[in-house]
Amino acid sequence: MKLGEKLRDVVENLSGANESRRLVAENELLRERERQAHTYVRSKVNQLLRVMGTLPLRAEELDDKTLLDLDPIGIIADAFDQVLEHLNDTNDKLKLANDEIQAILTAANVGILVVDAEMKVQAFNPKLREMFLPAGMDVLGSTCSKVLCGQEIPPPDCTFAKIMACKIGLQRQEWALKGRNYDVAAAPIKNKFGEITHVVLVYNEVTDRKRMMESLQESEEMFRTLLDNSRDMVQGVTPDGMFLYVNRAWRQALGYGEDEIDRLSIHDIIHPDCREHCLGFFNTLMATGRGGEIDAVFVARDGTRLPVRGKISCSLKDGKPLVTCGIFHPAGETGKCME
Amino acid sequence: MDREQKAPQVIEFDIRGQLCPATLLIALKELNRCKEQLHNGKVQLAFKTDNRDATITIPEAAGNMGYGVEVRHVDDGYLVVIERGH
Repeated sequence: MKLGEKLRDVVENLSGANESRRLVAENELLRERERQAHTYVRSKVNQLLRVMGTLPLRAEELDDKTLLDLDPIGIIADAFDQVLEHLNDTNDKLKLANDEIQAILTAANVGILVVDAEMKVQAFNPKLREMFLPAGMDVLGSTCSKVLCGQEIPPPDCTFAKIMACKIGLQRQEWALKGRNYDVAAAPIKNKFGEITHVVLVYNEVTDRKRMMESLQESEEMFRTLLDNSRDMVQGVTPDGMFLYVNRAWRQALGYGEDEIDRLSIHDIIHPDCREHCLGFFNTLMATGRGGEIDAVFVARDGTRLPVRGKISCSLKDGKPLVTCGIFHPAGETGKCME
Repeated sequence: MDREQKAPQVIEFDIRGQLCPATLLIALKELNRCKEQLHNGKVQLAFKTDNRDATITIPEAAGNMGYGVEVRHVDDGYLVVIERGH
């Protein structure tokens, strides 16, 4: 350093000019740091606001001083605390709901299958495995046509395809698979846009019920044939006097067609001379359930008197009359009307 | 024995003239401050605003926090009512 420069430095030190310049420089540095700190806070606030789904802060809306005074990071942090608390509550509720659903799936005595929109198996309950799947076979992710129907291409009457087409729940009766029968109820699960994401299919095996119904129908057909070939007049009457069944001999004797029976009541075929006696018998039968033999006079469709003799019995259910069954044969023109 | 539920006190804030996100920050600040009273159903917060964005951002944020929100049209804007979630 030259002598002149040394002298100027001494003078400036003595006058405080050097200190003043140092302070100015330090001040500028602090201001720059503060500006950077505000920029950082503003950028972080904007980042958090974006997460909250809103717009960034505008400088004209909140100046730097107000920004610090308002403490937006603190506000949003507390808000996030509440969001997390709510999410935890929701998770607890979802877990409980999931546990409940699992318990229902396990306890259900019907097979339940959940497939996604691509027909791939997402979940199923133990009963479904018992009904359709070999033990231990991993079917998650496989298509339900392959797993259940045993074919790559869905069958033409595929319930899943119907649900995807009509987009509403449906029920099918007695769907047949490998010699067994199932009632199937299916329902779509939709997202908020109304698109089907999953389909739930519920299978209730009804093979035994179907066989029983077929057996009952066969028995009924056999009895109907027997009754229709009987020479006796056979009738079934409800407690309110309406005809449930009459056989061919009954219709032929009284001249009624098969399609007229539904509208007929016992009062229509009892001769007025005999009505009091017959209704008394009928009321006793309803009250006691005890049947017996009876002579009566019926009236045919064309008004002809038809004296009959027969026997009436009463079927009870839970102690109440269900139906009376009468078997009659023409008694000749005696005109009698007595028990 | 049935206990009569007292109607919640409605605390109203007039934030007309404010824009988003300031409206949301104000609402969040009050939701934080009144958290306990909101959770036990003692208060409802009602924010009167004329900023349409606020009728979306405030309900969405409050919904994410588990509160029930209703937006009503009023003469000079909207009333965003926040209460205990169901």
